[in-house]
Amino acid sequence: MQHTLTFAKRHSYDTVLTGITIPVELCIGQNRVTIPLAKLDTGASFCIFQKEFGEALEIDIESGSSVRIETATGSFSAYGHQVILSALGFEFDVMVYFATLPGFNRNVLGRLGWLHQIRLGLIDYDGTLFVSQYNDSNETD
Amino acid sequence: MNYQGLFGSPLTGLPIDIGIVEKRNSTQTPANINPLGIIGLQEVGAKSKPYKARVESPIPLSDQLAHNVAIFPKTDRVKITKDGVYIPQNILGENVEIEHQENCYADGSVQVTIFSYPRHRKAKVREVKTIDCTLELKWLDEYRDQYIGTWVALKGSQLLSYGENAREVYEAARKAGVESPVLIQVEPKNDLPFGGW
Repeated sequence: MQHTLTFAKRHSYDTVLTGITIPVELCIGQNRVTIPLAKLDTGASFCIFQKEFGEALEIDIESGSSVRIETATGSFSAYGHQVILSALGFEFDVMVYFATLPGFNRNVLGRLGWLHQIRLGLIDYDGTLFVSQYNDSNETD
Repeated sequence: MNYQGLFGSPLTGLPIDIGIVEKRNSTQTPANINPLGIIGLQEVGAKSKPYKARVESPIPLSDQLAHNVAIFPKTDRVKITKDGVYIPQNILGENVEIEHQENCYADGSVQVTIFSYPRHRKAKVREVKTIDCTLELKWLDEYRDQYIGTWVALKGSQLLSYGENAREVYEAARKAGVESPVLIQVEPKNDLPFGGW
């Protein structure tokens, strides 16, 4: 059986960079910051950013919703805050998490907060992403 | 079955596969659950019909477990008093919107249905311009070695500010009139492949 998916947007990413790199903007109140090197991570439960980005937005990081996140090599704490997240042409009011681990230098778009909001197609060999918002369903058998 | 610790997810309020509860209890009433303390919970983000568990009505559990409903034992975590039912927030989850619906019946019983909506499924979506950081990444390639260990704020190929404190670097860029500066922690180029977390 064949399945056909259609998407509203198509994006190219730089296959030379490590990971699948997606520029992201976070916004809260009047403050906006652009994070150019966030990575798509389908294995991450949340969208997680360096705490410095939250601090730049004047967020009191540790006042957020606390969560412990497990990795292959250990675990770390992060705090969730409601922000406006923009990536690949769509903007959502979602919860993202800021890691408090010193030296933490990853910024990832994970499932809760981003992947749950969209439909995503990926052709890694070509460096191509296809994206639609989740509710823009257009699937046929 | 030990029902303690099954709840409390920051994700949806229904962190376990409810199907497991249903399966294990479909034929018998667990001895440690008092039917008087049952509260119906449903993840409405899923495509299932609302389910209403009737409080103060000894409906056999086997009849109540046919839907996506979380069943709580009447323990010290869920309090039932003459004023109402008190449920700790961590049972419902932290990223949820909670609503309830009450129905009173002729026999004096009250049916309360509590809905736990995962917020992330209801996020408002807006189409916006795609972010393009091509110029900033080109700048980073060219000047990386000069700024290793610092935070830089960029707008296109223009360096707005830099320093060791991200907040101060951001503020300086905002004062320069840039609404959404590109903020980067400059690190040495790492050619090792990334193995995930």
